[in-house]
Amino acid sequence: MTRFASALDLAADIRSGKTTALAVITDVLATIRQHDAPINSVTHLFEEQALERARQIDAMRARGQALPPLAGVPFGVKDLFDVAGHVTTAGSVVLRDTPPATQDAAIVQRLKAAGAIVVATLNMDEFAYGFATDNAHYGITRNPHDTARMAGGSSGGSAASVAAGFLPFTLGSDTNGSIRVPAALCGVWGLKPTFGRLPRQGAYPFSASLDVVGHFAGTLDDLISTFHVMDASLPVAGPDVKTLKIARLGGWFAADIVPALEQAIAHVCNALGTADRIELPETPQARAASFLITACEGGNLHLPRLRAQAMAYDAATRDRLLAGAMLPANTYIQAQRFRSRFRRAVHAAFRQADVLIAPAVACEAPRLDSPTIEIGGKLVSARANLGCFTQPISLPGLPVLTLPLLDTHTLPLGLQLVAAPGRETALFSVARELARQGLAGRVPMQHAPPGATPDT
Amino acid sequence: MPQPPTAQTGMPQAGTPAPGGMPANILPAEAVPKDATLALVQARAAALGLVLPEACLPGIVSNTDLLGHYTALLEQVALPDLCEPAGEYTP
Repeated sequence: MTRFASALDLAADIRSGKTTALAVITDVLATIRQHDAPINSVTHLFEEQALERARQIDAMRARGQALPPLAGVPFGVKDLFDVAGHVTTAGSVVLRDTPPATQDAAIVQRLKAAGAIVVATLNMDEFAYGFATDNAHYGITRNPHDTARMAGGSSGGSAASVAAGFLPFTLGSDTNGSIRVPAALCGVWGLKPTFGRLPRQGAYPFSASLDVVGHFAGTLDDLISTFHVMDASLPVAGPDVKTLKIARLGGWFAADIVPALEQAIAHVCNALGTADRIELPETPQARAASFLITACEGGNLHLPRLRAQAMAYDAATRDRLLAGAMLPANTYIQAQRFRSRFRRAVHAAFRQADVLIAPAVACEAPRLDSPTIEIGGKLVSARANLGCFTQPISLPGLPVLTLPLLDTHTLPLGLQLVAAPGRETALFSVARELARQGLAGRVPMQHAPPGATPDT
Repeated sequence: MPQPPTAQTGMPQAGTPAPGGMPANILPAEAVPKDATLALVQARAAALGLVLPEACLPGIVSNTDLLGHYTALLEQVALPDLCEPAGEYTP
């Protein structure tokens, strides 16, 4: 009943009396219990709280009260967002003895105030440090399109649960690509808003200079509607796509991508009527700076706990954090100074174009038993290189919409639509046009239940 | 034997041809002598008063080599004196 349903459709059905919030939440919980085991996207269900909230919403309707816009709509949160009364673990056992959160994270509060119901926490790489959602404590999240393949990370549970149709939208966070990589590999919409636009209060930090909270959705309308709820802004008509200057990012962003993705980008550029290319200077250094800032800030954040309980961490996370904690100050400051320089270069690029197009990930989701991708004619570590197109764009804090491509005749592939800071509406306009032309939308699962259709 | 840093860290692999190319004069992380990095790691840990569990050393060494690779790449950029860090403290 609810699987693959959109948030806006569910809200409309509850508001009209076609269904009840209780029926929706009951069905979502049953669906997750029945179908999540092979995917492992969910780490905790808020069963009683969610059902109680659903009853309250149904009671409001029965009394004739006006319902808020997302009344009864289920959603899930990456396991680093505070949910009042629940311990925020950030994907680790290290924090499991900390007190429960006393209040919801800021964007969770806003969604709840709009009537949405949080039903689950979702799997992630420990402390968001990774691109694979391979968690030593909570297991690996598998790609719903092929459970032998990666879902991507670090917000892999959030992307996979939308791709599998369990939840219409979910929350994630993105420091180096942790929304964009799993959105692309799982074939769903993802949004990393402008750095600083959405409040991070109540989201467990990783790298304060780069952390952005955002979300995933199965439809573009849901992505946009829920963004405005979290942004506490009113939806506005975006710019006419015909008025936007659109260009493809070349150089670093045009190398080593699989033929199907190259072909898809060509179709997209053709559909948007652009043949322009722009190259960002010093892109390898931008990736390096993003990498180093993350390592330094993450290492510094965890150093006190690492002194006391290093062996309680996931080994891979622990060794990265310890190495980062010991980097010299000069390295960190050089990276932050470079960030200022790169910011100027990026703003110069946006004098030539309003929206930039780049691949999100170079290829389909890699197999878990052979996690490699081909770069420069060589097979290299997939986990090492999944973020190579997202990391440079993290550094300047730009808004990025990850767009799932349709009709590539492959497993999901995704693009990054990139705009100047604060220009999310330009991204929405371009995405709408590509969805209208049938080039973008949630990638349907091969074994989706009857009635499940691709939607945008 | 420690695993290669990239397989273990899930982060960018040093020394492989990267999209858009990588400056050729940057030493790949795997080419750095491990003994030298181990000494560096131990010195840095001592400076912080940090006791590193033995089991962590191979992974820390690999990650330190990787970070060193990216540091070298970034140090190639000559920044003007007036280029300030991007920190955003507002009093």
